[in-house]
Amino acid sequence: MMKLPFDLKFLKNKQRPSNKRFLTIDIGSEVVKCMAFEVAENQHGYYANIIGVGKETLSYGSARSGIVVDIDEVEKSIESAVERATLELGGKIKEVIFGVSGDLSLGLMTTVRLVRAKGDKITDKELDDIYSKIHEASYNQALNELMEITGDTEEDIELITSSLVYTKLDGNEVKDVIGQEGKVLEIAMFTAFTPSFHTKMLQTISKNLGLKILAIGSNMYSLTKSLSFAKGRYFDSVIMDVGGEVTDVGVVFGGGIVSTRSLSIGGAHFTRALGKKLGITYLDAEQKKKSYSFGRLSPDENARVEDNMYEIMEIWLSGIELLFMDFTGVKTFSSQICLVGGGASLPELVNFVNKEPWSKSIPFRSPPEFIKLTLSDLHKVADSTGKVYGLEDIMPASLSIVYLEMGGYLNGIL
Amino acid sequence: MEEIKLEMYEDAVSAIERIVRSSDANVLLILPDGSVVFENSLNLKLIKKESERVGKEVTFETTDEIGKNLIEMMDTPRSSSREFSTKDLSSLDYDGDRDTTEKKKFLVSLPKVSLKWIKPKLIFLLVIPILVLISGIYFVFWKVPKANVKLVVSSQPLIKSVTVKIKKGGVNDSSTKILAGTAVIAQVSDSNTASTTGEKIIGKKAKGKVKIYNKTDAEKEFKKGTTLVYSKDSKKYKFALASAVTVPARVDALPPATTSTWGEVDANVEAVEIGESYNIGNGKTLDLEDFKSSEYTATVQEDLTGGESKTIKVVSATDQKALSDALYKLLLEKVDSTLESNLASGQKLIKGSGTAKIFSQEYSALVDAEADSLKLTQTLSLEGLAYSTDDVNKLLGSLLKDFVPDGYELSGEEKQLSVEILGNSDSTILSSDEADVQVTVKTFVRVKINEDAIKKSLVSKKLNEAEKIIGGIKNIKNYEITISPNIPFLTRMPSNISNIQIEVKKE
Repeated sequence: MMKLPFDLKFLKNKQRPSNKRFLTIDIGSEVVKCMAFEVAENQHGYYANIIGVGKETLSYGSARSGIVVDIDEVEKSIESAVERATLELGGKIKEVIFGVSGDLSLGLMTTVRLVRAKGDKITDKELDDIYSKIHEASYNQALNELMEITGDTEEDIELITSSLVYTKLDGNEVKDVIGQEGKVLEIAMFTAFTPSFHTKMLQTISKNLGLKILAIGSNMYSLTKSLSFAKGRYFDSVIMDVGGEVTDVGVVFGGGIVSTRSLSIGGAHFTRALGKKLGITYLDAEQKKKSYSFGRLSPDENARVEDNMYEIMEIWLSGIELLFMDFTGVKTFSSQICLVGGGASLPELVNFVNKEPWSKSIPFRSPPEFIKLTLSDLHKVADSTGKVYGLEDIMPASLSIVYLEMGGYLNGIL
Repeated sequence: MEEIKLEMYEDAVSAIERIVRSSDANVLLILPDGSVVFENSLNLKLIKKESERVGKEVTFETTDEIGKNLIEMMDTPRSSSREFSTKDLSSLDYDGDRDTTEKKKFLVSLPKVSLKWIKPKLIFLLVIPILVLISGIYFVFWKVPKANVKLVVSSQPLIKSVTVKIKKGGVNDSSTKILAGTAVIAQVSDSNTASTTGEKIIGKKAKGKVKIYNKTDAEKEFKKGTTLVYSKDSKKYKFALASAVTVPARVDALPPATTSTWGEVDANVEAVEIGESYNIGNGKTLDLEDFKSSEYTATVQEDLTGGESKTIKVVSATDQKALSDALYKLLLEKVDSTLESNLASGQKLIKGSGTAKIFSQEYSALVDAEADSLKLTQTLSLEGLAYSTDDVNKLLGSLLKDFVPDGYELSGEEKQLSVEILGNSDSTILSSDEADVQVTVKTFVRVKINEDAIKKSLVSKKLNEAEKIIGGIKNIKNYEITISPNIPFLTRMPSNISNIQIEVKKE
């Protein structure tokens, strides 16, 4: 079994106390987002209640696509974001879940089929051995895939997320196979990996800030798992997270992510292009872009912004087309594309993907339909701060599912 | 062709913008080492695609190894869609190399010939040449022809990293990933000299004779060591009585006379401290400490002389400690190299595992001893942890087997092994007793080829048939058949299967 780079001790805790507090931290290209949560309970079961939100802008160049470049600067920003999120809570929260995405997170689904000669009862040990083999196989697969994506043959990676998608015994899906008899056992498991250097970096930062890492979770997995409570366990979808420097795409089939890819173009590129064209600073361009997103510009200004972002949008879309073609094993994509991330707030982005014929070369089941996700799509998250409303908040909010899942708060729900 | 040199931080979008602006239809894009473009293979594809969209042809150039890999891989499709593949664990025992080809049997009827008319002698004479002929034919067609078949099969890199614990006194165990570690013991010593910083004042105390006066009407005894004080320029110079003395009482003259004669006695004194300032001339007055000068006083009877002082350099405890610390630090730098020189053949030291203790240290002078410099000879006893490279290879050998994909085998070529010491952290340990290391092996797996089956299928085949057979085998990327001797019109594969050699190489 692979070593997980975080503390799972609390998994052993059979009790599931409410009021447990924890943090989620998402390091983006420009902003560190921190959310403080408290586990709460209602008639539908446990959920994570947002009790604090803190965001801190990263100094220029201190992080790129979530990759920590200047550890001191990033550490300061995290410290500040955590402080803001916990300012009014009357006490420190030390337990934290970090999210990773983009080139820092490689997710894949591994399916194994085993023909059992005797067909006798399946034991714990047998299942553990199979899981072990799946992890090893997925580790190798991930290493090879990472090499194909980055060309780096020396990158070391660590398993950060491992989740069972389904288990079938003699063709029938079963919840718990232990003790059951059957000949053909099929298991599908989603695993996500992150480069070891990133894990170590997060461990160093946490140690310096007195935080305790509970988990490093794949953002894409967290969102998929969170959405399954609203969209049904077996939903098919494509998730597109347009971040600052990166656009992540995850393909979901039957409620499980089968693969993820990322394109190194995001919202910051739109801002930079706008700034260049208009001859204004990056910050002014960002302001202009936000005003455009919130519909605060005059029709003339609106048209000017759209014109000046046309070329970069074209490049982005061309990259998205390549990205979809890179999912070599997908025969057909779900036509439902869920948008998240700050970059997706741009109205022009949705207009652009809707009017361009790019999707014709991609095997969508039907013309793709773009849906911007909101917090209400995450049934296991509630916001008591009133500060969570943007598309950029969805990912850090969905990370809370990792805590609920690891703590056994979701047992018996799905 | 226009050359565009990207800066390290310039990304794909920036590259595209510059290519679009270029006036040349052919662009050479020079990417620096560590370029952010290499963070994702899609970047290169996007640059190429967008360049083509504006009618430009882009050529990539870089010295970055990762970049070179990406450029090379750019035109090859992704290896597989394994995210959807289903691995069949139960098929591990399946013999994929079974030869299921049915062999046709031919039965040929030969005409019956009667040999009764041939005499035995004649038979003998006939048999010998026939046997010679058969042997010749056998030699020519069975033994002489040889074929060498070089097969180039598809391969893929296999990179595996495992965290292994090396334990002193441990036993090699691939299931728990424990490697036996060996203690390496050595001693290292060196000497160093440093100037002393301690100072000490040495000298002699002034001595002489004083006269003590008793102004009271009672005899007074002063004990040995009683202090007498000479005051000058608000400084006090103290002397001590060398021996006890008794000073007689004052003698008053009888009335009407009013004079009195003070009692007096000579006494030897010695300065309390060393130094020239205690040399006091004749006639100077001294007070007796703790006594009123109106009752007792003293004057120098004979010059107090002999007082002298000078400052010398001595060894201080700080000097010893500083020298010891500095030398220890110096010797610590030699821990790894000293331990390495004590390794047996095939052993590797885990750098940083060494511990050092001071075994002995010898100073050239003790604390307080007069010396301008101090020399120290220090010996450290060292202990480190080592492992055997053979053990690592064996362990990885057994671990790698599990990672070879179905239908592949380890190629045995270009195997690189690296051992990275993980150091001390929350989850790893580095000491002279145990150490966590990350062993990474980079090798290649190549498609498994059933050489015996190929050999069988090639026996006695014409060259073009042999080429057809090999060319039809899946996963063989290239091949080369060499038949010797090369006789025109007799270019057949040997009938003797053992004369067909197959050499498999990865692409």
